[in-house]
Amino acid sequence: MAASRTKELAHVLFETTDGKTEAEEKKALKQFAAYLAKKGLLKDQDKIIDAYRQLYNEKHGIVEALVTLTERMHETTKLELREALKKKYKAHEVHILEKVDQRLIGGIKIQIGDTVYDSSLQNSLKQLQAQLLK
Amino acid sequence: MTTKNLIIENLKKEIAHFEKGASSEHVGIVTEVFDGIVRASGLSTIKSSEMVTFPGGQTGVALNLDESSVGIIVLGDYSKIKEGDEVKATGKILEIGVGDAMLGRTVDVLGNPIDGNGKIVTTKTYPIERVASGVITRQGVDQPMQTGVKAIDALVPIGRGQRELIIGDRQTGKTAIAIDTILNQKGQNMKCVYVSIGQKDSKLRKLETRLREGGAMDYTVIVSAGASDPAALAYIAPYAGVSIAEYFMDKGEDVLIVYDDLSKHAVAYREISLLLRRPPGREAYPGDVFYLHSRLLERACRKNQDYGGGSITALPIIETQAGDISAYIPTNVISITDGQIFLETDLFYKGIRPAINVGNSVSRVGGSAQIKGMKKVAGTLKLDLAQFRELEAFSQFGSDLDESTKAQLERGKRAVELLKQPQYSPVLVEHQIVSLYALTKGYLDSIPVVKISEFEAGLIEYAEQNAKSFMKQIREKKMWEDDGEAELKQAIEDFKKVFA
Ligand SMILES: Nc1ncnc2c1ncn2[C@@H]1O[C@H](COP(=O)(O)OP(=O)(O)OP(=O)(O)O)[C@@H](O)[C@H]1O
Ligand SMILES: [Mg+2]
Repeated sequence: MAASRTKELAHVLFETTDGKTEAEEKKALKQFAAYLAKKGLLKDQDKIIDAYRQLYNEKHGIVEALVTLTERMHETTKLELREALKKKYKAHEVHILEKVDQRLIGGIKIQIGDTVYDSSLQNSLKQLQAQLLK
Repeated sequence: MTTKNLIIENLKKEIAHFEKGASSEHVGIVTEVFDGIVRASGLSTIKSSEMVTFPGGQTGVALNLDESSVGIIVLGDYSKIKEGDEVKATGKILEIGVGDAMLGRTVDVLGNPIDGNGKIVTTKTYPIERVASGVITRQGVDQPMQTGVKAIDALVPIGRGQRELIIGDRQTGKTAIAIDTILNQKGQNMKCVYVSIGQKDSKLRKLETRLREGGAMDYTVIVSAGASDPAALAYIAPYAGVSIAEYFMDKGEDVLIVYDDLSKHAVAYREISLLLRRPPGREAYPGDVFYLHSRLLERACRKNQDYGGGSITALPIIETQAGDISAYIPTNVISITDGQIFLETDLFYKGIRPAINVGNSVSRVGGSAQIKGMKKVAGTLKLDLAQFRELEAFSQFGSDLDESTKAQLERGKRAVELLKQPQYSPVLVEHQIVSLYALTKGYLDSIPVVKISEFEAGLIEYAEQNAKSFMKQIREKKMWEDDGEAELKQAIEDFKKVFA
């Protein structure tokens, strides 16, 4: 499905549910799902939901950050990171999703939208390797 | 949890509800069974030309006919299908296997061999219905498609990528022109597809033998839906044929496709529509019969270099009744094509064969594809013929004609004679130019009309030996130069002495 069509549908979903009562929302979701089924778009639900998630975040000033470390983050680090991202992105809210991955060896990797800040040891080593092989 | 995630979760629940019910969405029930055609209810999401399957494993193709039910043509054994059977939509448009292995073969509308020469291993599949390539992929017609038929190449020239209709009553030589054109493509870097619709098997066999003997099957595929096959197959045949043509075009090759004939194709479609009780319109054809042929002929085109530079030239054939070109199907197809070649029974019986009415035949785009040398001689020929037609009518009343009128009449008679041509003997364009040059420069005026054909054959042979640079110039530069022309003139004069 064309990207523009996905966005359009995400917009519809947003407009019909945002700030609505629970009953209205329920009705809108039913209709939306029925529409997808009728048009044979159920197979595209992941793309549409992704687009919706993005749109919702944009509209509500929410930044979602996927943070990968080799161990769970300290609460203080989390707070500091949240404040830093709020400032940088002028966001209302910052949601941090944590992921633990030993392959990083050390350091931290932050992904926001399609931007990745990678200061993991794994990445530094990769770069070093590339330098040495030149 | 944020509201966003809640909304997403709730939406997923709603969707799950539909997904469970989804399998029943694409199933229908057979409500009526006809001769090779069934009607089914349900199948609300089905697309036109989508493949469906029956419980016995048979394949069908949906004709998206109306809102509450779908007409399905059954490809294969339909005798076991009965009311109440479940029909499953596949979500796929009917496809045909395509590949180089099809060259030299005769296949049915699904690409299965019917010539008894074993399996065909194809490399790709193409949908039989496809939207025609867009304008940005196309290029104007400027390369000739030589038919080898003198009257056509000189007066109604056809270019690669053109759609030229061959139209005439029964037994006027329509098929003969198409077959001669295919025979003439030898060594012209052309692939050919001959789509035979509703012809008797014996006729097709003869035709296939002719092509094979002429070495033309090496670059030709025959697609056939025979006279005894159900209408459903006749309906599919031209679309299957053009899909095979598209396979070659997409490889950057030039393709010639013949539809013999679209009158029988329209009749098959009418039969299907009437069985499905669609409201009949003019001449009992359904309302969308125009679209039947426009979507087919639109697929002929010439691609520009960025899109591979391939082309499909289409020669659709239409049979008229008593020369009536204002009937529904002829008018439709005339409006879709880039010109017509009219064949007439009168001419045929007068012995003017091919029985082309050169006055009424036109080619709207082929002129720009005609090679320069041919253009030069054809211009004078056209004039000679036009004057001849006028004077011929006039001369039947008065007996006292002045010398110049007599001369023009004599020239005209020789022009008509020179354009006659037996079947299975296409003439190379450079040879056409030699004889037309001789005609238009007056060299034939002293040759008796009955000797014209003999003279022509001899002259061509003589010129090949004695006007070598003229021939070379035409072949390589498409036009003669002064020295070549002088050489040809000398050769013609010398040959006249030998001939007398
Ligand atoms: N140029 C020609 N010179 C002599 N005979 C010809 C020529 N062209 C066709 N014929 C003969 O005329 C007859 C009819 O030709 P053909 O089958 O090509 O016509 P048609 O219009 O396709 O006929 P139908 O309507 O049956 O399809 C055949 O016997 C064929 O051999
Ligand atoms: Mg015929």
